[in-house]
Amino acid sequence: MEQVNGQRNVPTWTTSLLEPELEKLRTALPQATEKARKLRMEVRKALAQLATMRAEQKKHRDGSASLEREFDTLCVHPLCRQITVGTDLTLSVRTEPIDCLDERTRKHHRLGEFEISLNLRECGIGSIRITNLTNPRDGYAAPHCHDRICWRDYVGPLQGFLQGRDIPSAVETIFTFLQSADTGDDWGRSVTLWPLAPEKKGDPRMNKAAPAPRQDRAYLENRKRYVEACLPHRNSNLASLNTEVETAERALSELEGKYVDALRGEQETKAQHDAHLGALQTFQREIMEEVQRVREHPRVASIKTEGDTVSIETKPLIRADRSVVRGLAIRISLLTGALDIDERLEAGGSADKPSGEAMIRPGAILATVDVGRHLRWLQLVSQSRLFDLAQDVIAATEGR
Amino acid sequence: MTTGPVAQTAVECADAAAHSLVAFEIINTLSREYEKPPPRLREPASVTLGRDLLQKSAETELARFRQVLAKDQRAKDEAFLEEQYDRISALPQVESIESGAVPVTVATRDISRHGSRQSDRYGISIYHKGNTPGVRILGQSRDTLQTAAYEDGKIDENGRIVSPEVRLLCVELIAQLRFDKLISMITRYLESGDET
Repeated sequence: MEQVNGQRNVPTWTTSLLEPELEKLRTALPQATEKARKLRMEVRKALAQLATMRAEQKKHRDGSASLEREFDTLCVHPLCRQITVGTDLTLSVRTEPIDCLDERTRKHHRLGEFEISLNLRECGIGSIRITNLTNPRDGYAAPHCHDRICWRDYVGPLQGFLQGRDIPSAVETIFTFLQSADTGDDWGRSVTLWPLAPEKKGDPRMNKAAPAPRQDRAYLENRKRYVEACLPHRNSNLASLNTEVETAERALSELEGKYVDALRGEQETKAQHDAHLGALQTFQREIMEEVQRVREHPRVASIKTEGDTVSIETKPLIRADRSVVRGLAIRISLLTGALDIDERLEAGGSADKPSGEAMIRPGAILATVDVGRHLRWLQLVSQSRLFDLAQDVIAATEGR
Repeated sequence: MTTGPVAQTAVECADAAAHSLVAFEIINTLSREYEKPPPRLREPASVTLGRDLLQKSAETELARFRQVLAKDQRAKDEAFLEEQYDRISALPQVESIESGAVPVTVATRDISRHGSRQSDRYGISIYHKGNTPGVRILGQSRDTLQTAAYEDGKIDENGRIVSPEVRLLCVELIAQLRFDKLISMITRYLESGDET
């Protein structure tokens, strides 16, 4: 609160002035919070996307080392018995026995062992061959593999993995494809052509401990070919991936900037709200103190406040010339600073009024006081110093 | 300022009231009003005058209130930042602070990853203003990128934090200007053994 000349100075930051501002801030605060919350979600999403891109970038940067690790991991897959990469860069996966689930009976059928081959140079879905090595039935290698392969819903993910040269994921997808049958069509219902699998042998992945990768000469040769086949694609991808990461990073930075602005906006709105509320409460408290002091003044009959308007009624006052003023009505607008003082003369107290009625003389006192006093009253009004004002107006009327 | 007998009286009164600034403003208006014909303006003028003057003042009150708030906030911010400076300086991992402009750069003492003997000094630059707020962490004891943090994948080649959670928290602490918490968190991140 401002101080003027060491005196308490209630500024004219009145209820009418601050309440609408406060209302605006009350509305703005949840909006600011909501904006920050939404941006936070956007930043989180962008961060997650960037993290995925960075992981991919890291994999590509590692180049051959990463591909060697990938080959090693693939070789120890529980469904893989042997993996070779031929000189024509065809990857061949010899599998363990694979079981397929009949959804209707919830029973597994033993399809047998397979050879899955895929040309790593083409890496297209059309280059995939699936051969049942141990138990083909009626021209079927597996429920959806007859003279051609019907990939069903697997075609999309599989193509995606192959395009990105994510061979382990592609192989895993083929395993899942073989282990499931859509019994809604004839090819899928062919699952019953195969005998039931021995109990609890549904998925060998759950029943086989992963062996350590072999490191013999043939194995190393196969791994070398795998790396040779996949590395050029990885390298060509790296440049575009780097660009993508940088673009994503720039977009994220901008988003972070907006998020910081939103957070600061929220803090600022909250601080302004609290400051307005504090000022309003201080004003109201100090005005109430003033009102109480005025109420306790011996010459004051009543004081009322309505919004920013304060009305003070005095008791009868006696002027220096012994004439009687029935009372003063002092009206102060705390917002506009308007001051109105009406005199009510005692009935019979003056010659120029009808007998028996009080006569009201609006603003009469203001015409009688000197300019210095008037200025002081204006000052008191502007400072909302109601007690000092009432006291001085009464004193002026009484000729003091 | 208008001169004349009325104005002169007003000046004297204003001096007596000892509120020169407000008084002078009133004097000017009073003088203008009083000099105007007809003379009977004197009585209502005194009432409407105060209203006019203070109405004008009421219109600017809000602006004045905002000015007071802004001044208050500036003072608070300055005090807060000074306190921040002291707190950062008091952190055991902090060697020195270069502040005043953007970025604020904090040079660390040797920081080593838990369970590792290798230690590095880092320069942590905090971009707290502008459109792209954030943190850059570069090595200072060896080459800028030859740090355990970079090798562990905690920061990228531009010194940006890789962990999404830590990075988000950094941005939020920057928004709050809580640089002390920010530096503490970053040093903990650099010391942590977990690869992100």
